[in-house]
Amino acid sequence: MCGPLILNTAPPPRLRLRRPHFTAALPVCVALVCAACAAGAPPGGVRPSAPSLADIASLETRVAEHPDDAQLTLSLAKAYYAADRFADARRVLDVVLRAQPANAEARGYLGFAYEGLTQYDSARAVYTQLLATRPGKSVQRLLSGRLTLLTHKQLQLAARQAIARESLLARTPPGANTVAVMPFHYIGSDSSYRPLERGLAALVLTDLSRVHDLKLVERDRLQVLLDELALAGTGLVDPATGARSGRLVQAAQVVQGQFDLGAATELRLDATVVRAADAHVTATGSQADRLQALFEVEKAVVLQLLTKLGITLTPAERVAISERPTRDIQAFLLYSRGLEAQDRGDFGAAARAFGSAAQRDPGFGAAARQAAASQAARSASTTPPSDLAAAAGAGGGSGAGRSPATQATLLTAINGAVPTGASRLQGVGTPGAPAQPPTDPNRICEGASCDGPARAALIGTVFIILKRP
Amino acid sequence: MRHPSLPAAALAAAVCSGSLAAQGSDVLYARVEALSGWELRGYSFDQGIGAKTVAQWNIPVVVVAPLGRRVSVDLTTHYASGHFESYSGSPETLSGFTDTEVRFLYTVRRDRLIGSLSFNLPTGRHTVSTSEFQVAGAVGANYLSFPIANFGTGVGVAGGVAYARQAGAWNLGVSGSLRYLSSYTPFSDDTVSYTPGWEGRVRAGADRLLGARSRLLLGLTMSTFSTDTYSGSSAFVAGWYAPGTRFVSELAFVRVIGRATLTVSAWDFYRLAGLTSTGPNSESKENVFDGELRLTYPVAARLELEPMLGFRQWSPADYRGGRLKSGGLVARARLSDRLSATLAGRYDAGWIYARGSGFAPLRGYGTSLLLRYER
Repeated sequence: MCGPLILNTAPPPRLRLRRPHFTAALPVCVALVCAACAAGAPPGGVRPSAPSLADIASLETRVAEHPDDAQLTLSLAKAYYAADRFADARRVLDVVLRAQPANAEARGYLGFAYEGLTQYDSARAVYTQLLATRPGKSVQRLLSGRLTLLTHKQLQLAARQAIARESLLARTPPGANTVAVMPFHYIGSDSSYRPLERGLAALVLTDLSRVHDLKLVERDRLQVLLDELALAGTGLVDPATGARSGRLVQAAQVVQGQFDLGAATELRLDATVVRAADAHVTATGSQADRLQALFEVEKAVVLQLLTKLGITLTPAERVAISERPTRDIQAFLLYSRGLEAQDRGDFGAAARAFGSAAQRDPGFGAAARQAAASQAARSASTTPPSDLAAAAGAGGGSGAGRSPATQATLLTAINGAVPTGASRLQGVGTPGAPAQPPTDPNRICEGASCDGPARAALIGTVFIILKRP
Repeated sequence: MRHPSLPAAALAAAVCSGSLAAQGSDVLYARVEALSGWELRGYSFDQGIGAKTVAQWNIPVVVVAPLGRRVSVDLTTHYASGHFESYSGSPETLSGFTDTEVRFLYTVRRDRLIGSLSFNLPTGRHTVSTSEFQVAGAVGANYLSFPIANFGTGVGVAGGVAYARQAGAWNLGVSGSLRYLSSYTPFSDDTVSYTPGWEGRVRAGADRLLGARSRLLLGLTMSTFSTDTYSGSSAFVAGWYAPGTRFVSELAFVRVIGRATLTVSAWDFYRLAGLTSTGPNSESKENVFDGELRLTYPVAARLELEPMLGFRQWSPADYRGGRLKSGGLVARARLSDRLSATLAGRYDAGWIYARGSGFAPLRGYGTSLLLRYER
C-alpha cells in the first residue's frame, strides 16, 4: 500500500520468522490493541473507559515521586493516551524509551500517540522500527495491518491538503515523466463488470511502472483524491477532469479511458494520455477482443500508448510488460472487487475477494498478497491478538501467472526441435528478431549431392551416386 | 502429385479452431495469427560454374490458432516457384504448392513443458522430372538459403517435446524430436523410390537479460539421421545414403540504445560428411556461417526502419566455397491494431567456388512483403 500497486508475479520477499519474543511481543500486542480500542478505531473491540482527571493526577504524583519507575511512567502515558492527550503521552513515552529503549509496549504506544497527533510519518517510522525487531508472526501481521490503515489515513490527509492548495499546485511544475492512471470508466450496463474500472487501472499502472523512464503515482493515492473530490464513480473521463486530478497529484500526464463489454462479451478498451498542464491529449490507444483476452487487450493498449509517447522499450521492459498476473479472468474480476472494497475501507470484504481470487488461481501472487494485507488491516482494527495467529497466511503464490521469459524460451525450443513456418511469425512485426538458420534440409538433394548451384550445375552427380555402375 | 485441396482443408480447420479458443488458455499460441505475403529471392552468377541464375518466389501461408485450453495448432504451406538457368542448358521452372505442415502443441505444464505432434502432408512437388530437379537442387543450397529449400517430400510425422525453466538469471530450454518420412518417388521419369531415414533432433537454448537494456540468446541444435535408401529401378541402382550429423549454433545479442534496437546475430551450420553405399561423400560436409547486424529505429508512430548488414561464409568440404556480403533495409509498419506489414529488400555480392567446377562472382537480391494478422 506504500508504493505503486504492482501486480507483479514474483513472490514478495519472505520475512524470516523467529520464535515469538513473548517478553516484547505480548506487550506490543496488548498496547496496539488497547491503543486502537482507546482511539476508537476498532468497531468490534472492547473500549476501555477513559481515565478520570483524578486518576491521571494520582499517576502524575506517583511518577513525580518515583521518576525512575519506568512501568509507572508507562502507565501514565497510557492514561494520557486514553484521555486523548496525545502530546502528553508522547512526552512521557519519550522518557520511558530513554530509560528502556527496547520497551516494545512503550514504542507501540508512541506510534499510536503520533497517529493521534496526525504525525503519520513518525508513526510509520515507529511501526517500521518495531517490525525490524522481527517480532512474532501475529504481531508482524498486526503491525503490517496498522501500516495499511496508516497509509489510508496519510493519503486522505495528503488529498485534502492538495485540494486546499489546488491553486498553488496548478502553478507548480509536476515531476518529469510522472504518470497517474485514473480508474477506467465502465460504460456498459452489467454492473458485475464495474470493478474492472479499478482492476484495469491497476493493470495499466503495473505495466507502466515497468518502464524505467516513467514514475507512477500510486493507484490508491489517486483513488483517495478522487474520493475526496467526489469524482469516483461519476463517470467523468474528460481530459479536463483527468488533467485536474493529475495536477493535484503532481503528475505530468494522466492515463484515463473507458471500456465496454458488448455483445458476446466483446471487450473494448479506449485510453488516452492527457497532459496535466493543459489537458491536451498526447496519445490514444484502443483495442477490442473477447473478454477472455482482457490482458492482451490491455497490454496492446499500453504498448500503443508507449509507442505514441515515443518511448522505446528495453527487452527487459518488454518482457516485464508482457507478464500477466493471472490467466483466470474470473480471478481477476474478484481481484478487482477486492480493490473496490479496499478503496472504500472495507478490508473484510477486500480480504474475502482477494482471497477468492487467490483460491481460484494459486499462481495469482498479487491477489494472495493483497488478501494477506487486507486481512492484516482488518485484524489490526477489529481482531484481538489472540485471534491473529489464525489469520490468513502470508502472501505469495506457488508461482507466477505466466512467465513470458520462459514462454519465449519454450517457443524457441520447440520451434528448433520441430520447425514449422510458425517460427516466422516472430520475425514479422517484431524488431530485433535474429536471422534464422536453415532448419528444413533438402534431404534427397543432399544425398544426391546437388547442394547449391555449383553442384546443381553438376546435376549429373545425382546419377553418379545413384546410377548403376 | 498435387493435393491442392489439402492445404485449404487444413487451413479451414485451423482457422475454425480459433473460435474454440478456450478460457484461461495455457497454450503457447493463445491467439489466432496469420502470415502471408510475397517473397522473392534470387542470384545471378557470372560464367565459371555453369549456373547463370537461380531465383525463387513464394507466397507463404502460416496460420496459428489455439484449440482449447492446452492445445494450439499451426499450419504452414507455400505456393512457390523456382527458376534455374545455366549458361549451357535450357531454363527450368518448378512451381506448385509445397508440403503442408500441421503441428499440434500440447501444453503439459504452463510455460514449462510442451509436447508436439506434427504431420507433413505431401501437398508439394515431391515428384519432378530430372530436369526440374535442377531447380529443386539449386534452391536446396544451405549457402544461398532460399526461403523454400524443399518443394515436397512424402507423408511425415514428428513428435517432439520441449522443456524450459529458469536458472538464476538464465532461461534454459531443451527440446528433442523424432521425425519419420515415408518413401516416395522423386522422379516422374523414373521409378526409383526414395525412403528417407528417421531424423532425431535435440536442441538446447539459453537466454538472459544483460542489464536492463540487453538480451542474449544462445542455441545449439544437433540433428542426426538414420540411413536413406533408394530402391532400384531401370535407371538407378539400389543404394543408400547416411547423412552426416548437423550442428546449428545460434547467437543473438539485442540491445536498446535510445529509441533504437541493435541486434547482432549469428548462426553456424555445420554438417559432417555423409556416407553413401559407394563410399564417403566428402562433398556433403559443409559449414555455413552467417552474421548479421541490424538497427531498428522508429521513424513514426507506426513505422520502423531496420537497415541491416550481413556476412556469410560457405566452406564445403575443406575449402572455401563462397562468401556473401549483404546490405538491406526492412520497413515494419503497424497498419492497424491487428495487422502489421514488413517490406524488405536486400542486395548481396560475393562469389562461389566449387571444386572441380569453377569460380564465379555472384550477385543476390531479395524483396518481400509480408503481412501478419493477429486476432
